[in-house]
Amino acid sequence: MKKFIRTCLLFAGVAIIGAVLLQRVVDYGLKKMTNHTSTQTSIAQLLSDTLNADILIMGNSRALCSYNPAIIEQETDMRTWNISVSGQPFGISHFRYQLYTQHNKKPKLLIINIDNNELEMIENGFGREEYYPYFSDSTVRSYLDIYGFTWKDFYIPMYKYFGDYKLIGYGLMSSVGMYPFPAQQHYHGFYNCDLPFDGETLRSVLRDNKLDTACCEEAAIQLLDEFLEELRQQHVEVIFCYAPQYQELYQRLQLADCMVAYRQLSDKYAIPILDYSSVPWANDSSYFYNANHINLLGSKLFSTQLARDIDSRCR
Amino acid sequence: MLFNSIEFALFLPIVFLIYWAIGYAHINDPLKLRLQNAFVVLASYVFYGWWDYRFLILIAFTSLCSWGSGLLIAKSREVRAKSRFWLIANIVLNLAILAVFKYYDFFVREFGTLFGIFTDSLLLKIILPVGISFYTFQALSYSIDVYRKKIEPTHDIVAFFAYVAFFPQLVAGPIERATNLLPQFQTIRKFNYDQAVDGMRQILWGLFKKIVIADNCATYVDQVWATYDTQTGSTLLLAAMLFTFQIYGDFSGYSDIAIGTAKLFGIKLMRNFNNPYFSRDIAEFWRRWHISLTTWFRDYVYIPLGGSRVGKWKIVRNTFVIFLLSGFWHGANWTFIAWGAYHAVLFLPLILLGKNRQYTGNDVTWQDIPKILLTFCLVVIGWIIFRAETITQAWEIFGRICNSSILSIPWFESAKTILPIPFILAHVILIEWFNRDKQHGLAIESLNPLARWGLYIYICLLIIAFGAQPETFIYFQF
Repeated sequence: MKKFIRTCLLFAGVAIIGAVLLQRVVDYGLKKMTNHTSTQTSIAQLLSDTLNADILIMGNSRALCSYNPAIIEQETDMRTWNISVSGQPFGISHFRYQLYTQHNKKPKLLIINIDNNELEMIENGFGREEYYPYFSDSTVRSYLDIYGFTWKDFYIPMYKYFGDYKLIGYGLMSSVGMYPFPAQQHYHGFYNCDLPFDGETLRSVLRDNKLDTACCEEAAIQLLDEFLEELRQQHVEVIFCYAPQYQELYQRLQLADCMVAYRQLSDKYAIPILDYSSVPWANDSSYFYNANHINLLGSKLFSTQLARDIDSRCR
Repeated sequence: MLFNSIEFALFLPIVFLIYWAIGYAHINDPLKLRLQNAFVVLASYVFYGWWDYRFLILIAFTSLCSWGSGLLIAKSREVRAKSRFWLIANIVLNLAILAVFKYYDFFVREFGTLFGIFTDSLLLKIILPVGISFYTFQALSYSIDVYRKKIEPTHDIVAFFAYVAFFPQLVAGPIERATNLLPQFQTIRKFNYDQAVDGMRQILWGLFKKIVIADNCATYVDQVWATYDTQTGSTLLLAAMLFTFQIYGDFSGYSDIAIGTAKLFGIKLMRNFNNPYFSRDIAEFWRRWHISLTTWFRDYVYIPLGGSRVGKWKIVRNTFVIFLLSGFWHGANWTFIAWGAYHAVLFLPLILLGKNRQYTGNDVTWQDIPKILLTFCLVVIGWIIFRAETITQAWEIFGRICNSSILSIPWFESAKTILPIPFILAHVILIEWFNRDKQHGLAIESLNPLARWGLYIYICLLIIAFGAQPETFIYFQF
């Protein structure tokens, strides 16, 4: 009996130590990789003190490919960074802003992207793996409830990577300097999407009739409200901005509820709303890579126009 | 409580330590035995109650009735009619409980529809208690064996309750016989190091089959089956093949964990699977698949009906009876009955030609592979019927598999879902092939310690890297 318990404890010890070591190696490797997730500004960058932007942009994938920091910098002569993240609503953007401010100076101007998908808190699990290597960071940990992580993810070694053989592989490869993806150049978090128009997104949205309602959650509005109050106290200037959207899609969206919410907050905190949703070229598909997202050409036009509009405001 | 859960990972060592603490306590043997059995009952009821404590009363009632009937049968042995009465009373009572919980709605729906009197209000819509078919059959085997004088009735109610509710095999078998399991609860158990270590190995292998094989296959199979009416024949065929591995990994994985866990408590359970997909014909498949259920029907239904030592028509009848019952045991659905009938049709030629026992040993070789593949294909066809929700659905799936879309490339939602499956299936096939004469895939006691530990760690790594999101065990619903 004693021998059996000893053997079991020995095996458990070997397994736990092995799992802890493996987790450390995978964590280390993934921290070194910045291009395996849905974000262009990695958590490692947010937690570093190297961003220090004067103009900061936050939002979802539409924001990611619309606001080109290089152009805005050129026009305004102010350091600009886009910390937007693909596939995530405001709850996650807010979290990323908190990470940013832990280690970087407050921006002078914060551009909050607004659209039909931003006012959400719902966690869909998309991109959650980005946070795996940072569970030991207290700031990251304090926000992870939004992703539905449990104590098992935090305390059982390798549990968070359970079944994710690809991520484990990437982490291991990266830890020894073998990066599975070619390095991508994302200037200050911008997603440089130089692609022609793909109508499939529009067709599927219209076919599946996914246009009934725009997402507008009370919890997200409440969080945005509190956030804006915080920004007012910190004297951070804020702009709500609606980036261009392909008109065939935009005109079918039922945006009334969420625009009412944005307008109420805009009135309450005296925040201007810059609405570029229906710029004249938004009918031209050559500026979009799908109905929701503008391409590099569109982002040049939009960012230039936006930069000129905000230039006077920033100074 | 699921075997593949953190709760069970905590529950098992606690129960193990308390159980053997009682076993090594300085008290007299009868008291020790009683305390250990009482603790097994307590632990088993906690294990079962974790899922739904309300149904514990059902297990207790089944146990009490079967224990009482055993005593009454033995007491009235001189008067055969009387002892037969107690046996039949117990069988009727147990089957009535099973019928109410499992089959009532099915019969009401079918007969009601047939006679045009069906309304939704006639249905009971009761939740099916987990494992009811397993422990009911186990309890029944006791009273039948007492009646047949194969075993003496026990006066020890605690041992009997432990026999019915023993947690490793309570909810999904193996369906134990009183002649094998009950005496083990009536004698002092001694801890056996080799047995316990082998139990741990079997648990690890069972977890691998469940978490890596079954749950990965389930991800693909469930997606395809949910949209079967838009899928191509090649996709449906691939899903059917993966379901073949899913159900094997799921059920044999559960059995391995159950048998391995029992070994930790000094209890030997019967083998439930013997590499069924290495069978060379359908008769051999049924000697290797869900052995505890097959032999149950053989001993308590087929042989009493005359077995194969009767005329040809009766052989046909008996074969259909056990296969249809076996199908119906799985659930109240025509698909299970059709699945049983399909296997009866495959089995009949073999038994009528006297070839049903031509493969009885574990002497499978590489030369047998064509026969193995043919048998495997026949089994896959059966699983399509089994997995379908209705006969119509099964028929539609067969229709799609048989049209020209069988030549198209199967659908994959993402490479991440499908890529690891060939890799992990190769592991289970190769390991079980090379260990096909052993009790389980990981019976590797003859390897040197370094290789053994290396293999354990490798399997743990495979579980971590390729484990899929936990699914409940398929056989819980039966």
